[in-house]
Amino acid sequence: MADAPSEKKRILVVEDDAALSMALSVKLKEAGFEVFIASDGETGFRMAEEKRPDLILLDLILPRKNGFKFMEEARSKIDLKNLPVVVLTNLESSYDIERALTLGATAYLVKANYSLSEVAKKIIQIFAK
Amino acid sequence: MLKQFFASLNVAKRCRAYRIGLWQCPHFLFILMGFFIIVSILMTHFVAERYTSPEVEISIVCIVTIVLLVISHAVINSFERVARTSQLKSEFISIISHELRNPLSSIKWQVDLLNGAKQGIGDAERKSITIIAEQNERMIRMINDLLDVSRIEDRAFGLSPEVFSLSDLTTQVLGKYEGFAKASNLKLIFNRPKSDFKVKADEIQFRAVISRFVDNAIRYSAASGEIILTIEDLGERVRWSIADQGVGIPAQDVQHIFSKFFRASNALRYQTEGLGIGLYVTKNIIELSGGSIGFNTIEGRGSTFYFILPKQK
Repeated sequence: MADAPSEKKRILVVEDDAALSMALSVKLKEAGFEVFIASDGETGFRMAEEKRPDLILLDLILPRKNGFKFMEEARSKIDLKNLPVVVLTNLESSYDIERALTLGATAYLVKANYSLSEVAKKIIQIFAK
Repeated sequence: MLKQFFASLNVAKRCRAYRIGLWQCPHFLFILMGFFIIVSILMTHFVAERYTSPEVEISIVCIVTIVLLVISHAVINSFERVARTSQLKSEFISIISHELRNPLSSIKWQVDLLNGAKQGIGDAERKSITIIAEQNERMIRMINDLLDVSRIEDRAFGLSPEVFSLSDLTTQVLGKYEGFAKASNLKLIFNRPKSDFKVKADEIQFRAVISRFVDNAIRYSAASGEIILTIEDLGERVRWSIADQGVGIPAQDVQHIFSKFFRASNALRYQTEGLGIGLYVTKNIIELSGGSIGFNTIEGRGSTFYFILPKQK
């Protein structure tokens, strides 16, 4: 029997800090999303190809494949190049922001400046567009 | 003036202040090069008068050129060292920003989860959670301020402009300060305009700007009184202002108020906390967003700080 189509939007969180990904997961599930977590860049990339999420929340400093490399490679994949990527990091130099936006990031959020509710709100806004 | 000029000639002191050796210090090397050029010109003149042989003159010119090349090489090396240090500083700050803010983000989000919990947390615990959240935010603000100063100096201050309502943002910020104002016997009054003004700027940075103004107005207010916030239509632009009935700024401090690490002499009597960089960062954020900042003040009577931004049509 085929699975019933899920109405829940699927979000892949690529974050190496377990405390942060856990908090994000709780909040995003509360907000009605289905959440997958990857703790390094390579696993995240593989999961992005397998799970086909509707949006990726991506940290920049990650083991095994950093966020910039992740976005670069995602751009060259037909399945992933149009996927919204929200960068969620504590890096904040104009160089990092410009580089992420050039690589196609939909939004650039600095973790320390956003509450969990604000992150969830931002994602809802992106889906609403 | 003359004293300053002579102080600037004390190269050894300046080089010590930059924590670099004399032979790596551009100031010293430039003076040495200048001195060498003068001496070599004079010597060439005297030698040329006595010895007319072209070989002697060519040899002198060659020696002078070689010495100048050696000194120039040392000057270039010293500049390279300065550039490398600056690059290392930027990288260090970038790492620090990530490493220090990650655990603070973690605390912030765990507190968010606790605040969202509907059961199992009593009033006393909620108060403790609020204090943890406030102190964590204070730490984040201080780190953000220091990082902002560094980015402003490196001309690497990244702004992400988006369209937002200045009135809504002001209302949101005031909501967070109501408790603090009430505890300080102060009334926050917001003259919200009838029509909504949209501006295009970095909303997160302007939230910090407005928070900083409100925070300062409360901290430097008298024991009781009013703090009045106003948004006015200036046609193509919009003026946001905050007026307090606080301690004001002494006349001798007015010209330094937007300087880095400056704290007014009377501010130190009222508040021991603070790095003295809030208004410096605020001014830079507003100016980088195409706006302007200003204030009027009377010591002992209060201050009005304002900023003007272009309206988003």
